[in-house]
Amino acid sequence: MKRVLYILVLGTVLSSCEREEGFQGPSLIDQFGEFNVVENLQISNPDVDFGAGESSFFRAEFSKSVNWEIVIKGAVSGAEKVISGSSRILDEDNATWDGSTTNFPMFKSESCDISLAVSYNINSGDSIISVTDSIVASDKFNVASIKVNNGLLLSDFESGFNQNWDNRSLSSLGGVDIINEFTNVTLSTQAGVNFGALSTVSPQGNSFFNLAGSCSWDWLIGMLVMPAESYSDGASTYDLNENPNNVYFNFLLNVPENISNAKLLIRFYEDDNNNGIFESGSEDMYSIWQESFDVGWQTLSVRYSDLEALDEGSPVQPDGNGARNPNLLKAIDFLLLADPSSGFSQVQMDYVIFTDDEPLKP
Amino acid sequence: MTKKIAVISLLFIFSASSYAQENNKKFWLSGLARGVYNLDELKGEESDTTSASKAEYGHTLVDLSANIRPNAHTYIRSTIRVRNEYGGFWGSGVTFDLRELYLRGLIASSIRYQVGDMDYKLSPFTFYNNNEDLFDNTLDIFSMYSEMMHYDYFYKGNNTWRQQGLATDFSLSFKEGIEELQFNLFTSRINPSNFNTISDRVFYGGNVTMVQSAQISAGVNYINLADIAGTSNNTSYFKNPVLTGTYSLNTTLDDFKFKLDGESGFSKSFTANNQDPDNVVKENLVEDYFNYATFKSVYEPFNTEFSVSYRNVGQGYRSAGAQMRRLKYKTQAFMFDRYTNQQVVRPVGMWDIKNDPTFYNSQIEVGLAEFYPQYNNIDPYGLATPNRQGLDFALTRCDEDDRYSVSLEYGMLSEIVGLGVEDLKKFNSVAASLDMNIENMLPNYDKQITMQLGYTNDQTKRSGDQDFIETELYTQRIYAGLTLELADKFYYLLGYETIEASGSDYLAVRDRNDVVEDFTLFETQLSERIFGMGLRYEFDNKNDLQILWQDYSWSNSVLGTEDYGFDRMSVIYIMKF
Repeated sequence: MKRVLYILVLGTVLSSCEREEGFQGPSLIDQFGEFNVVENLQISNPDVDFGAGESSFFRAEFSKSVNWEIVIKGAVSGAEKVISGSSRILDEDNATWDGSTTNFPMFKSESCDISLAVSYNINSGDSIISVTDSIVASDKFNVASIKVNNGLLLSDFESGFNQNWDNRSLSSLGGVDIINEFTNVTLSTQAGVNFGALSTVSPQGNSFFNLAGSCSWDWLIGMLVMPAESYSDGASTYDLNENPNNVYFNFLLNVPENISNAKLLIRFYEDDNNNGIFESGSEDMYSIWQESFDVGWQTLSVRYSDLEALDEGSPVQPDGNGARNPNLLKAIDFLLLADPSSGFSQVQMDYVIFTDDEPLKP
Repeated sequence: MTKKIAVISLLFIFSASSYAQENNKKFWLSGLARGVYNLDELKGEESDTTSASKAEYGHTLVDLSANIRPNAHTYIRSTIRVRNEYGGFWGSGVTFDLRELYLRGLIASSIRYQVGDMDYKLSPFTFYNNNEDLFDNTLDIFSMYSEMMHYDYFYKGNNTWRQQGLATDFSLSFKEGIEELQFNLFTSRINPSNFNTISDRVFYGGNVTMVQSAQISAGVNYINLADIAGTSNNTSYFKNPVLTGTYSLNTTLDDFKFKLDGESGFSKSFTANNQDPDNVVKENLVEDYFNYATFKSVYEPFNTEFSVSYRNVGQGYRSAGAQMRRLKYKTQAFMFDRYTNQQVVRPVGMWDIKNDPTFYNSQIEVGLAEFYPQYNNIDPYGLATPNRQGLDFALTRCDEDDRYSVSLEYGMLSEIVGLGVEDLKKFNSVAASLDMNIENMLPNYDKQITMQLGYTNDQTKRSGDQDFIETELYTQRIYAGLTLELADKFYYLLGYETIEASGSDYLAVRDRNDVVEDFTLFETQLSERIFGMGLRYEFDNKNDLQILWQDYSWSNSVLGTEDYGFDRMSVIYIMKF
């Protein structure tokens, strides 16, 4: 008995479990330590071919943890990618570029300028001074081919207005005669209504789609309809995954800075019984309603399962089977609306694409 | 209404008392009466014409306990406190409180129980009321104040916490193998539900000790501070379970006695989020372990004891019942809270800690409370202070003729993980004390002459390759006291104590979940001195009168505030009955 107890005692005293190493709390060195660059900025793959699935990461090391920011700027496109973080070391885990864009336009095959800036605190006598975004390194980067976004691309508007985009599903809507006039007009004036693809500074490629105009007697200014049949395979529904949790609808969106009255309604028509016809009132129609917009081009991504049936902006019960069925999606339309008394309104869009499993990373 | 109830209760107690006296002590009264009168004078800058420089205050109180023994196995005690502030007349300033109420007894001559108020402790790592800073080796002349506060807050001499709940203990004896299995169990309520967001919080646990023989024993302690699900609308429940094992081995070899005591265990602290009953999530989980062992050897011919203790308490070890501090961290005192013509807040000091009862806690709370690094930066939460490892040595000798006792202590501890950097703080402490009963050294002299001398030096130091990593904080305490019996039971008391603290250290700032989120730089250049003298007359061992005078000064050049000081004259009368 005594031996057992002795062993127990010794075992207890000598036993030691693993503890986390390091230190508690924020780093004092980060707060008060001197900053210097231990390892200069390096690029793992300076001639990167994103189109071939390549990526590139940056490496650098500092004497203390800092807030850092890498800005990659396309020399031709003017596109910007910003990678930022807070750490002492930059490596594959926190500073990898997959060819995506932060500030539009999207990158082209081009040379890029790189700058690495850091911000940190230094202890100066009795006070702490913040050094903000001091550039500590710069370099060059060459993009051989741009990133490919996998998914069902409805249009990047590079080939202009698709004449198969029609409005036959809108026969029940008022104002149909006017809508017919929207298609394929040039944007020469802000008077009247004009919907069409423009070749000017674009977030992707060289063209985008412009929805613009005014209507003094109705909220609806105009609409663009993209039926599934308008594509080359001629199928009556889009070729999408049947699981709504895995399907994302994405497009690039811009409302010019001087426009404050724009409202955008995007509707998704499902052919629940798959008979080739959308039957209003008995089949599901889901919507996205946007009436507040940030300045500049941005990406709008919505998971298909998050779409809702709306009536004047409020959720309602869908008219059909109530299930989100991306594989039964028959058409999408984009409606530009504005208060009739508010005059001219405008929304621009580009790169309409469905992606699988994750939102678009342009 | 409360007063009426109290008065009726008192009348009932008095009338019942006379009846009870005639019935074989089924009922009797006991208690304590106290009268305190203080005259304080603030000594700040001479040009201060804004602050009141003098204050006189005090109180009288009676704690009247009704002791009831309805049968041989049951005992009931109820104590009512009547307190009257000095200057309160005709009911003004008078308070009536039920100070304590409990019932205890024996079931089947084998199971003891207590219901209501109780004083409880387990071990220094599970449930323990550590002494407050600066309390150890309190001089006789200053002990009266701490005794009063300890009495008011139920800080008993054996480091128990006053709880309200239920406790029971019993033991099982065996004929062979082991002698006895002892069981101690308790539960108490820490705070009540508000039926909305705050749940009932209870503290429960106990221990089982196996006594194998007079030489060997081992035990298990378990405690848990936990919210009770369903007592509020809150679906998050705090829990802090602690499980430890203890052992004790002792043996004798010639003139030496050896003893090894130890305790090891682990703790968890978390909030169980029950929003989804099928998937309870432990949020803010902190867990760690500790090991502690102390080896003592006593050389009996010299009555000398040497001990060495090892401890390793992880930074995540949380045990609310053992890490709760008696002292609150306060930046503002009750008396003379502002001074100077600018009416700045008077920094608190040793005098406030020794005299101001508002600095003390009465209940267990969650979290590592702020502390006073200038007084104790090494183990502010007792032995259970997290993030400490190292050795403590102690050598004590008590003279067989009670002429003196001397003790020397040395501690060498360090952090286990650093704060903000990987460099560790090292803690070194030295303490020496000497108590001399001079009358025992003099032939044919029977009047008490007691002298107390002591010195402590604590050092916190962290070295590093950059200036901001380096910290050094020193605290030095020197004290000396004399108790001189002038005539029979009539004593002259004298005492002097000084504290010098200097240097700086980074202290952890913790969030509500005890996670270190920032640091604050603590700097001090503190100098405090307190000198006192007084007279004490002991009417008997339960009844004494003291007239005490203290002179205190405080200075801390780092804070940039005016130096200040106090004079206090006190008259204190205490009678136990």
